[in-house]
Amino acid sequence: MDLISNLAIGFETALTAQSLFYAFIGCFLGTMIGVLPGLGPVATIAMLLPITYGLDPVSALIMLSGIYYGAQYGGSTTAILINLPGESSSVVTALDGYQMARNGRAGAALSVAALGSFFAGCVGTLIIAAFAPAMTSIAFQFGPAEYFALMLLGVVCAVVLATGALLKAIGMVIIGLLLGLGGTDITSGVTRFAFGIPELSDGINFTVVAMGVFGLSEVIVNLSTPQGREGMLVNKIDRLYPTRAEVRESMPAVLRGTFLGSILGILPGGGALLSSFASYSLEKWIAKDSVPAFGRGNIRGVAGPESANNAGSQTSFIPMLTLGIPSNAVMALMIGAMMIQNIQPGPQVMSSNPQLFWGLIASMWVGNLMLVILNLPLIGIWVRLLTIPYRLLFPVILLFCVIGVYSLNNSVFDIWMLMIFGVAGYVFRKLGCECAPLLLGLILGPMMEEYLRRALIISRGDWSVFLTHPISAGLLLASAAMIVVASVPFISRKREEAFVED
Amino acid sequence: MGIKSQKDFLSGLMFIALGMAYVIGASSYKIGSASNMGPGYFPLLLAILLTGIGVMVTYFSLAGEADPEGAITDFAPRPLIFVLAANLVFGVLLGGLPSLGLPSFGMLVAIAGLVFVVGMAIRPMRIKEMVLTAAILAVCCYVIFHLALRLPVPFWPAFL
Amino acid sequence: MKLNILSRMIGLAAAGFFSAAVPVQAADTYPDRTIQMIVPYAPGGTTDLAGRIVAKAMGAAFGQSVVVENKPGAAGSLGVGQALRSVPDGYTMAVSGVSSTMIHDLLGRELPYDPKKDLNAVAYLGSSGMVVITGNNSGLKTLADIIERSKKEPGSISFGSAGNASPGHMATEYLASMAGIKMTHVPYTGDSALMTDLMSGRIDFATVGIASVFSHMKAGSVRPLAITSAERISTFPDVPTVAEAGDLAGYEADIWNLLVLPKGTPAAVDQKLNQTINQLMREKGVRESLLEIGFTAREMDIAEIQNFIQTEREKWGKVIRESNINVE
Repeated sequence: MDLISNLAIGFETALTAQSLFYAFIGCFLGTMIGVLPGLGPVATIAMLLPITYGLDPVSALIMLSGIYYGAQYGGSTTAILINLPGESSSVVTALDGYQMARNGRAGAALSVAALGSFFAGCVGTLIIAAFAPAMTSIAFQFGPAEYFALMLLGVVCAVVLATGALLKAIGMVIIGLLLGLGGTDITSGVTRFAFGIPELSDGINFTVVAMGVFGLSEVIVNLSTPQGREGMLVNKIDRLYPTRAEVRESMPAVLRGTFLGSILGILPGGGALLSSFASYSLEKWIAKDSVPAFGRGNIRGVAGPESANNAGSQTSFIPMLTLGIPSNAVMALMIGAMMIQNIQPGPQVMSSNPQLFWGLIASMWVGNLMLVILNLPLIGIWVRLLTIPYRLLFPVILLFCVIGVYSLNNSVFDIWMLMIFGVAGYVFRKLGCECAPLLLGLILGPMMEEYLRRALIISRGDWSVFLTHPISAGLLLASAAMIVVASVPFISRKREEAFVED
Repeated sequence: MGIKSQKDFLSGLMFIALGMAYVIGASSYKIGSASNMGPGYFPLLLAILLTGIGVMVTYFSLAGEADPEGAITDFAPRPLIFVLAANLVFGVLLGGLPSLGLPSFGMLVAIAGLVFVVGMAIRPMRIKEMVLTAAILAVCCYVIFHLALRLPVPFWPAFL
Repeated sequence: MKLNILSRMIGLAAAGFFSAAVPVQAADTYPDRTIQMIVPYAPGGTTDLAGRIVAKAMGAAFGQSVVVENKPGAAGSLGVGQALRSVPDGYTMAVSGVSSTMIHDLLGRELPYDPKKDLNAVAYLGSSGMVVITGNNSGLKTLADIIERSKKEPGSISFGSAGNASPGHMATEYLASMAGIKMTHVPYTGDSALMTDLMSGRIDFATVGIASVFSHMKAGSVRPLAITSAERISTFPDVPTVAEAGDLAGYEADIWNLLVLPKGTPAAVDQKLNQTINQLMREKGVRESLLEIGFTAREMDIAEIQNFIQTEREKWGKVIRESNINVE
């Protein structure tokens, strides 16, 4: 019954007027910066870090974590409305969410995203409260070999989630992987594919590529037809909220997404990143023949990944809270914030600062509730924005893109890169090549190589580690199975075609 | 044998070209061996794979009758050029060109530049609308990025 | 009338042009506007925290705000490069660590500046040691164990660090070259990225910044074997130095930070910054805040800093030549 008394301490801390105030500020700021693409939670928290010096530690952390998951909420908004995924997790949301918006279902997509995220957030919070120490051991099970196998599975997912030709999707994922390898090689320290440009020595930024191939090329495509230029993104707005059938379809997807996200979020080496991709592939596999098809505005393609992503962002607090190991850049900043407050983050926080630990957890739940309350009324406003004539809207979208990428490093160089990827995205579209696999490849490329080579350094060059470790072997087996399943229709179609030609 | 799908044919060629470029690029780094990989190993492997995929995509695109779905349509150079030009203008106005001695004009001027250049992508141009859009955006950006978020961005021209 | 406004604007623009190009600045009025301090790493790290502590104290001392701008990239060299190419008027400066001050250059990496020519170091912002740690289940109980086993089976022991040519990697190679042993380096993307592999025993030990594992050492979730500084630290008096534990007299490897400005900054401004920061280093509040994140404050005048850079450069140059640290 420790849990209940602990949660009581937590809510006592989280429900004070002061905590509620800072949770609200955090959620509000988070939503705002989530909606503004480019300006991600990392940059915002970094900017606000000095402000938190003056606050007490509990308020500071409550506000910072509010920003973090608020941004996850907000990030999906632009992905759905204008095909502009500012965060890596919203790439998947954009696939079906934007199509739903074009069909006049933006309201449904946004509200399912919000409600799914809320449910996932509640479950994630509960998992942290009840099982944080127990689940920590999962993180230890994952070494470089296991992570490599997980990344490989992720790449396979990316191929499977493509709607079109399998071969072209594989090609795009490889281009993504190769682009991701640019910059300083972690293992040898060599700078690769940088052409002597210092800005490229850290590799190509994800946001720049995402805004180029999704956002910028979308603007160009829309401008090239008369109805795109003069018309509106949507002509009709259906009811704002999902229909009963849509709710029925989304529910299981939300549950599965929450489960996947909760597990993957615990892995500090990049698991949370994969959660939305994994959930999308899972949904697509389970509901193969649902109408409309995935990629054409299927609500499950929004519900699953959004829940997975939010559950993952909650459970990614676990390694930080129980081990003092940050699982992403935001967590690293939170550790910095704790150190400024003279709290040594790590395993002892739970016992030495129970108020902080449980207060933070309780405030996560409060924050999630606030986000839903904050976001549901906003949906009406967002959707109405789509009825503005496109000729007035697109300069705004374009400005969003350029300011977004500029604010990443306060550098004009990223604007030049945005142009390059805008053109590339346009070419890819005209050639019928999908960009989502490319973006996942971009994220996974450097990680895959890093884990592969690290596993081999530690095993002193022995490749059998990937098969002797059970988790890694299992994940590799799953990848192989997915490839077989995905290529069967492809092969059989080719064979059919061959027969027809005879 | 004709081209079945223009899209696939050109995609295949693009994969081959990119693959070859990366093969050449990766070869300039130490390759190493499977048990002791150098920085060139993984990229080389992927580049060869990409080239192979490109060959397959090209090959499959050739067989059969021309498929109308595979034709490339609606290529629109005008919006492409103006959207790119708008980016360029924004970047130059915001960052200046130190090599040519051009100072930064700050974000507010850059916003106006972007709106006007990209507005030219559409005919007829509506000057009044563009002025209004630029003004509203400039004010919004100033409030959001400067007053609220305090982004370290130059807002005013550097020489004022 | 219109013409009049236009010509005035052109005149204003031209005046702005020239005044920006010529950095005439009387040192007695310096600083009379906001100072920009570039931290060349992402926020939240120890360099960032150290920079912010100093910036805050400087702001109070000068009565002008000192704004910290994080400009991460290329392991610190992008941000330092930006500061070193700015107008040398004393209003743009950067925090430069071991890597951006010399290691990159010694390794022959391409940099947006020449550390030997462009770097004008005006103040020393403190140093921090690193610590050699193992997981609790490791059979290696002392540094001597590591050295002994590596002598018997060269390369059998693996160690993690925050990256290729990171301070932890350099310090360990320095140790190896002094002890005459060979170990296998496993690079990670930062100090915290290697913790799970260390705790679960996939790597044998790691050399990391003290600040980043302070809480783990306190909680007893990792075992500290030795400190890379010349002296033991007050918070963990039982942990020996590498020189003591490995019987390697003279061994010392620290992380440190300097405040750097572009060459051509008026000497009086350099002096004013140096004196102000040395004064701050004497203040109890600043000393203690720095110590909390693992940095020991120390006063140095500009000539001492130049000597210091020279000695460190020779030391690390030798380590790089003698060990197998290279980027091809």
